[in-house]
Amino acid sequence: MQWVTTTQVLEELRTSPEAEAWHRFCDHFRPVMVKFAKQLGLSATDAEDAAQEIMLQFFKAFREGKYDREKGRLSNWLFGVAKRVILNLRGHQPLERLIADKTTGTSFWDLIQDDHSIKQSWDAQWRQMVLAKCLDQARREFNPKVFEAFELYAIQDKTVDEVAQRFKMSRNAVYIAKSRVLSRLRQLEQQFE
Amino acid sequence: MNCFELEAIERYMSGELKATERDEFEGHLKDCPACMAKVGEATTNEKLLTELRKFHKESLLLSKYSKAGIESTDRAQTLVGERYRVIRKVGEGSAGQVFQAIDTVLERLVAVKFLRPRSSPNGADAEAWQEARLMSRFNDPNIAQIYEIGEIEDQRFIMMEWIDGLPLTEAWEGLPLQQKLRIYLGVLDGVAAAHRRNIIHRDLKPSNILVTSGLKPKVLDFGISLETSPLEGIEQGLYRGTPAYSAPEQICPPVKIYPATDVFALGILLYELLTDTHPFPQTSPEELFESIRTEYPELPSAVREKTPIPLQNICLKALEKDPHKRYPNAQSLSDDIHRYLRGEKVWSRPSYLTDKIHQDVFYHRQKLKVWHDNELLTEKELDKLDNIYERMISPADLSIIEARKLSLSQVCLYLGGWIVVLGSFVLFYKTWDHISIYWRPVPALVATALMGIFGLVMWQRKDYRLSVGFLSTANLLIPITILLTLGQWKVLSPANYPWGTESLYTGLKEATSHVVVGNIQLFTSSLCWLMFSLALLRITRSLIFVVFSIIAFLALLTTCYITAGMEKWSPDIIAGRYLYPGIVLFVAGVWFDRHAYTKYAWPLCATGLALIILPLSIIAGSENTLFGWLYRRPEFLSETEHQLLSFVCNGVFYLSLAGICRLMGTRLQRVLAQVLNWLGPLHILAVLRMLDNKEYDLPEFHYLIYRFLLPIASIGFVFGSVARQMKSFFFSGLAGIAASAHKFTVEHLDKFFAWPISLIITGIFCMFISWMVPRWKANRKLRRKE
Repeated sequence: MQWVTTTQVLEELRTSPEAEAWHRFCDHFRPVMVKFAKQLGLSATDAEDAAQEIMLQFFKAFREGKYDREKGRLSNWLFGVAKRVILNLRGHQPLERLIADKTTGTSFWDLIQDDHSIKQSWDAQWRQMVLAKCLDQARREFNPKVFEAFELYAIQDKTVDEVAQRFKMSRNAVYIAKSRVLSRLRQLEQQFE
Repeated sequence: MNCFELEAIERYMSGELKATERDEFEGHLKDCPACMAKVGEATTNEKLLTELRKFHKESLLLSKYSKAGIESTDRAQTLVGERYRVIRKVGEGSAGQVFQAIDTVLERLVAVKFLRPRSSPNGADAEAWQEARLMSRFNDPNIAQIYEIGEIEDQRFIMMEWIDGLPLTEAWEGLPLQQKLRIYLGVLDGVAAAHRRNIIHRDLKPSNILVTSGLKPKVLDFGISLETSPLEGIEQGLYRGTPAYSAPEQICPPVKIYPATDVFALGILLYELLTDTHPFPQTSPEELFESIRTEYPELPSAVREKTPIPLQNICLKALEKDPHKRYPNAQSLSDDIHRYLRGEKVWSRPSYLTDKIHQDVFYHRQKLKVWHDNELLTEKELDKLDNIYERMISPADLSIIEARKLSLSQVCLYLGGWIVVLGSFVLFYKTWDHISIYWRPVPALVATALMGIFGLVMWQRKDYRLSVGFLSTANLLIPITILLTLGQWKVLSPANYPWGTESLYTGLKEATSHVVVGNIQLFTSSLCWLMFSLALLRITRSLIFVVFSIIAFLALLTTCYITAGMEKWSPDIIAGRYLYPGIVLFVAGVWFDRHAYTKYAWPLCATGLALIILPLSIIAGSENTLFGWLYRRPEFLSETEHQLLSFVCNGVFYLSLAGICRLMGTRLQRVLAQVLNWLGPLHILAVLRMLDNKEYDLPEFHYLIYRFLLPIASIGFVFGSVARQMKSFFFSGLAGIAASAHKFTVEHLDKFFAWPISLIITGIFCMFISWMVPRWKANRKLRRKE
């Protein structure tokens, strides 16, 4: 998948009426919405529907110019839409609540009760998505050896010597790999938000 | 001044630089904006890095690169697909994670277990997967059902029944012993059902057995338990299971798994049931393995005083170190516990106790030899004691001993059976004008069918003792019932098949005076009897049916012989022909035995003895004076008095013969003496029967006393034999009861048609009592124990 920044996606969506822009936008945000919807107790099909609905509502509002990037992060704005749509859908679905209530009483419903925790859950999902996308992109951009050295040393807490020996590179090269990949990840991250 | 390398910045940030180096580095930073920028960037990167590490640790971000398995409900949801909605994670073990989910199609709760990815594919893994597949095909109320198994993205999962329950040991806390046993038997049923399909659990433990609110146990994780990861410290690939519930063969190489491996874990559970403690209380795995391999647990009765000893023996047998000494599978363990609950003898003899006996016996026997050498013991005493010890260390199978032993309930069983046989026999030789001839055989047919069906059902339920009683009764009923049916319905009647009608037919006609039975009918019933006996022998492989088969075969042979017209049924002829060869054969047998041809001596002696006993009894029993030279009737004796004297003479003769045999002292002679001893009580009863005869010149009230002598003595023999296990008296008593019943029928109930039916009903009632009483007694015993 080609790397596009969020700005680019939104810009395309605003200017180009073509379906391709819409699809790109969907590809970009759909997975996180589906995941979030499922976590709030929707079935897979319902979650897909919810994601579609969320994006349509967002698109409408966006076209009407209600969303201003300067005023707030896209993530927060999407959350507002998503919450409304999902809770609305969930209202018609008593099944799992019924069964969950019948059982031990420590179901997912008890864990997510208030808005605060729903928001936290959303943020976590969003952040995961961002990091996953950035890591994917970075993996593509860097030499595999460099990226793996970074992964082992920086993330998986292997010692410098171990990593250096494994990839037959100098200690300094490991440090450089870490620094370079991290800097790039930060750039990608900013592009995405 | 040169700029520092990245390494120095890294080390500075992580605080690894020494104090002097740090001062130097910080000094440089003040002057070098480039380095300052690098540090600033590193600090910002560090924040991102912390986040990345956090996600890595939660195995969310990098789950597909790691082998940690499924950690979130999301990931589980994506794997199981749309039909199931994952609700929450309920547990995690070494084998994998378990989630609760809803099957949206069938609207039921399911448990989804994700197995850890395989470290290396091997045969055992494939086998376990195969077993899980097998398990999913059968449904047992005591096993959590597997609905589906599958593999998605290298992740194997098992969808199974959701059970709301407590782990076994928590569930039975504080319950009385009887209830605990009931739960435990449920577990055994489940495991036994799997064992029957050659599926071994390998990881039975309390947490794998959930007990529902109705106290129904459910065994989880069947056939998938091989998936557990190897324990650290033990050679890889060798150990699988839970240390505290492992059998010795599971932990020492070469690892071999049998159904008995599960029996060991079940033994540990039984130990916990009895004592509330673990038999191997060590905590570290090394110590635990050592004690599982080598140590015997403390006796449950030492831990908890009130432990029933049979249950203790069962538990110890299940905990044998050698899997071949344990119960072979869960079913036989369950059978033994059922036996205990019914109040019967438990068969298990844990080797821990028998080893001890063997050791002691060994020392004692050595001591005996020393005593004998010092002439403190005679040869005979030494032999006797040695024999006793020999029997102690190599006892016959307890099941056989138990079946041979007379108990009150067993006496009821056989007495009841005998009464049913008698009732049917009375039906055979009495007229029944009250009912049409087509209905006459019905009571006997019904009784036979009932006995046969009951016997087979009991055999299926492994209640061998009762089963043998019922089947033996059915076996005795078969020839009588068939004769009765053929006679009443006039099938193969002598009118149409007149072969040899003058021989046995004539004799039977005289004896029964009413029923007309032809030789061909006799032949048919003997043939059916033989076939039925052989069928039972094949099903049960029990010694008693060998005996029945031989008798049936002899009966068939005799009727063949007579039907062919080769022999006429006449007491004097039989007596005259067979007594002399009998004596010759017997003497020859004794001669062979004394000259060490024991092999030939056995059949000679047995046949000889039979040929002596048969004519002698006929001579004494028949009213004619036969064999003038043997028992000549003096003028002053009436016929009856002469008969009585003949029986007394016979009895004395047999007992003297027994005495002589015993004096000769070989094994064969001892056995013969035992057989002859059986004739003693039989002759006592025969004499009593003779006394009840009005031909003596005695006052009237003597007859009144004599009349009741036989029945009272017979019943006394039957029930009195229980205390001292005197079977000769038991079976003579049965014969005496038959004789009394016969006399009673002839004299008083000749026309009372309900008499045989009431006999049959009484017999069945007796048998029913023998079945109920032990159960009731066991229940009461158990209640008192608690």
